[in-house]
Amino acid sequence: VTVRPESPPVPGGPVPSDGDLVRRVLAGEGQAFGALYERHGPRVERFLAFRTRDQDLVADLAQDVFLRALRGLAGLRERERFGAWVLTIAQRAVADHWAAAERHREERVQASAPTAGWAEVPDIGWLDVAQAAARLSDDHQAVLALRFAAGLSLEDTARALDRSPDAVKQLQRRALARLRRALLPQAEGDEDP
Amino acid sequence: MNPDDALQAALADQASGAPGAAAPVDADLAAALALAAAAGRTPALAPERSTAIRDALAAAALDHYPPPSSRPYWPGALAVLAIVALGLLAGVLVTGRPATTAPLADEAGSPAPAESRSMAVVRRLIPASGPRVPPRAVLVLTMPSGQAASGLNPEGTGTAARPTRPPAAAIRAGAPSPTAELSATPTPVATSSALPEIRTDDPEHPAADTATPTPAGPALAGRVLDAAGAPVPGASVVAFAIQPGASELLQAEADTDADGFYQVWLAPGRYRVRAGAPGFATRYWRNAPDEASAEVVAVGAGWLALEFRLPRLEEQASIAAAGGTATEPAGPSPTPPGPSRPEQP
Repeated sequence: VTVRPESPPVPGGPVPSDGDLVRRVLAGEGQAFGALYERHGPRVERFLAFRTRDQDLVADLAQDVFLRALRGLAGLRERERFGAWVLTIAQRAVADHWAAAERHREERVQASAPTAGWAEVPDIGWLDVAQAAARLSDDHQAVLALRFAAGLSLEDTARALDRSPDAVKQLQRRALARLRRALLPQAEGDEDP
Repeated sequence: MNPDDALQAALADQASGAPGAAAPVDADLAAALALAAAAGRTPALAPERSTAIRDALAAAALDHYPPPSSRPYWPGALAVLAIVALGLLAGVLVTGRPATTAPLADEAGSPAPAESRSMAVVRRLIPASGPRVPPRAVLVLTMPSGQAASGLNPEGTGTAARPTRPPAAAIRAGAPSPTAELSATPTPVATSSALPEIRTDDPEHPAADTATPTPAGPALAGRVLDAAGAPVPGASVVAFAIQPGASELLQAEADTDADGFYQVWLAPGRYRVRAGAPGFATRYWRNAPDEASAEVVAVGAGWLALEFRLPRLEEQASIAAAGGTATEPAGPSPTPPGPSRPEQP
């Protein structure tokens, strides 16, 4: 498993902020968008991997997410929040993808074998958890993936899901309870409203 | 403890690499920790795959937001040429004399810098000779690339690239009495050079919106006429910036030329605009006798045509003596071609 750094060091000079990079993209510097992908791509990929568990799909969706971001870049007002914004797009892209593949939903949920590319991952602990999470509802999966796989704050997760922070907190609590039951079927005394 | 806080604390402990320090306090936290650990191990794509995506995205970005130098300019240039041709034709038809062209320069006489590529084309096609003439109106054309085109004289007496530093933006301290320069070759704007000039970057006289660069064209243009519709040369048109929490600042001033035309260069913002001339009553836009009843003019990306009608002082005195109220001169209504429009305060 190759782990890429979240923010690769830029040789020579201070690291440009997300806002700087966005401005440079809009000014016609295409490489700056590549830099934005290098910076935020791993988080987006991790989020997508957690939601899809399919390496090919992750690659496709990651590219689609960033292309959507590119098209909307000029309208982005809070340019320093590019990272949270692109994860919001990723959340929508996943929702769109599953909506398009709704008729295969049951197959998706029941699929247990990891797909191409990741079968050989030696430490498959994450797959156990990801597959347990895959049996949760879409809302629960989304909140867990945004909070834990992508590392978004409560507030940013709330924005991505278009809910209030309190609602997200509640949703996260229920999702974790469900996940615990999925991971530890023998656990008792759950209080899951 | 709030479950979310407990979770964050446990995750922070785990991230700090202190095994055991994050002893989960309940089963939910155990699940959360397993989840976080799993998420941390979720693999990103292989480097070569990511590199391919990154390069494809960089190329797409270049496609979507091309650098200015590679943006196609010929549609804009064609549009400018077409309008220039129409303007020249109209000038010949109206004045019966052939058009002359004169590049506008700033007050120091230096050529206008940073000329757009479209205007460079225009300039190559039209000889830059002849006397300097005042623009009678300014046409702002937004080209597909988002660049603003330059000024055009509807009388056909000139095409010009705008100076980046507008001469009409000569901002003066105090309120100088209008001085008309009614010479045979009037300058684009009448200026009183004896007064100190204040640049908009002067900290004591900030622009209305300091984050906004100097606009590429005049924000206000129009005429000052008397009640009968005759031009008032040498009238002074002054824009006061309205800033919340601060007194209004004299922002820019311009004098009318021999035919009553003026241009005022302003950064986007909100202004009160006043016109006055010796022997005439002062009027705020729109036809307001005093500041309190003035209408706020919102300057945006485009420009506004404001026509002032100033009653002569003796007319006003006679009206007041007769116990009547000054009638509104029925001038043509302003035609804001840009996105900005005068608004009620």
